[in-house]
Amino acid sequence: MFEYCPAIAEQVKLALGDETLSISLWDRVEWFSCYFTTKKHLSIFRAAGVVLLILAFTVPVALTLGFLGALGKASRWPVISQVCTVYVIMVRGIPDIIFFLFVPLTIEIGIEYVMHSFIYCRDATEPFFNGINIQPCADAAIIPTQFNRIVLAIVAYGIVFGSFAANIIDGALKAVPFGQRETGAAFGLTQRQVFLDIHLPQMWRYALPGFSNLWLILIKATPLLFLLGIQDIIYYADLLGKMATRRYSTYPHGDWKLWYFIALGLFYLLLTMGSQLVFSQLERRFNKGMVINETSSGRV
Amino acid sequence: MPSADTSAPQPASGPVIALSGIEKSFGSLDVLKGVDLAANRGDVVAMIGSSGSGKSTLLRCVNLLEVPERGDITINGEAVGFDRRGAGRVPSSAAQVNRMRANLSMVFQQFNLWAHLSILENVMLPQRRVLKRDRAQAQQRSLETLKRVGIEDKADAFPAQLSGGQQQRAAIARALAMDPTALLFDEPTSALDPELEGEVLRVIQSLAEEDRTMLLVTHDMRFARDVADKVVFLHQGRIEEEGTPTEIFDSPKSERLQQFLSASDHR
Repeated sequence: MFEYCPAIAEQVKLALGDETLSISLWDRVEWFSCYFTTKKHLSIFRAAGVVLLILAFTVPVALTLGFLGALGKASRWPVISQVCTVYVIMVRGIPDIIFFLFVPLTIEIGIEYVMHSFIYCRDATEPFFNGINIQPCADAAIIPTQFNRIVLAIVAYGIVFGSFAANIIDGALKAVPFGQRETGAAFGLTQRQVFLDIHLPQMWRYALPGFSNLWLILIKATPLLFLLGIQDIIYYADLLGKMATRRYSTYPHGDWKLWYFIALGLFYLLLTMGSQLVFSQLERRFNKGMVINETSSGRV
Repeated sequence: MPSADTSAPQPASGPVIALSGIEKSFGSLDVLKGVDLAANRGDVVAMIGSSGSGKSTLLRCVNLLEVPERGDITINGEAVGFDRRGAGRVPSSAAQVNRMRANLSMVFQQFNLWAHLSILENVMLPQRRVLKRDRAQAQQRSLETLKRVGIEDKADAFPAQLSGGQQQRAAIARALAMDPTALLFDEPTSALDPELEGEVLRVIQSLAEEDRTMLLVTHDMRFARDVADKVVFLHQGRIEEEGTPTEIFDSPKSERLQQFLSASDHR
């Protein structure tokens, strides 16, 4: 990375094999600045960025699906309410890991099927479903690039956490006292106005504790990304922490896995603690004017 | 520009509120069994009766918070249309219901101020959304009515920061600010301590003296006698007796009314 890197790497390497040579503190600092900017290390930083990126995109997807699920459950149309109820029950009742494998796979197959049957290779002789094998023609096959995998990860997380969010939103909507809505109606507000001006703003207060939990669970579920073939931070931490010998490595070191995993733990801890701060701010905002659990001492 | 205390123009004659043959049941419980009720412009009608007599339900039928299974509701000469739905019925037009409700502001027993909005925002919200007043107009009218009920200094407070009496006065200001044809009060002081009742009753009394059309459900006999032009006594879902306060309180005819009055404290 830096110009002095080859020289310092060589110097330290020599020192490791020769006890008479000493390494100054400054040399150490330079060595680490080189060590942490190797290609592999940049990859782990990028992987951390990918985790944050996936988190950031999952939230709107999950919230949207959550609202659709919660509102759909209460729909007047039986078809919609049943589909939404099944969505919530099914996704909540099946282990996350199975879903992380299942959802991306089905989406992938679904897209390939559509492309195979309707867009490309109309003259393909082989059927798409061939016995138990699935055979898209060459044009229709999705190449599993890192980008495609990340998109699929966001969709999978969105669907799983959307169903949890739907439950939270459903409960929060029901927690708003009926009188608050009825009063809106009594003044002639339309259903839509009652929802947007009264029901929705008051709902957040009840939903926030649930969302805060869900967000932490989501953060802690990101290590599952490796299931989707995404080379995530844990993969790299494991890789980089391994002992590197003088013979094969430019930057030899002992078994540093412990330190890497401590760093990883700190990364997650920082992320969750930062989120707690944000949530307590949000809570303060949405609690404005609401009287729930507000006693002077906080004790019974 | 909404002037301070006038209501929208109305048909010159005929009752403002007319209910006839109202029947309402909750499951197997018949709450109203054929009730007629009319209020002319400027009338203050008090509905009294023991718990479960159906007086609150009757009031809630006026603005269709409860939909009666049978009977006609006419507000300002306009009859509410209904569609059959299963065993019961629903109003045919939500727009019509909302239009009527905009002219019938209700004050609830539990105040029902919107907890997430300040007092001023509470008073402004229905004006903005239903009457489509602009912010400045709504704010001006809100401050007028808050001043009228004596809590203009609480405009920026949240409902939870106010005493019950202040909350109920804010709720009255919210109702007044709509400049409704009629005001509906559903036991407005029942949730208040005795010492807070007075401040709310005084406000309602001052409104009654302005020739406003008001329907009032109350447990407070002395108050009913003081403010009402007409008193309606309900018993088991029927109107047992109605008349002027003097007729009802001083010379009750039916035995049930006599029993009811002797059982209640204020005479």
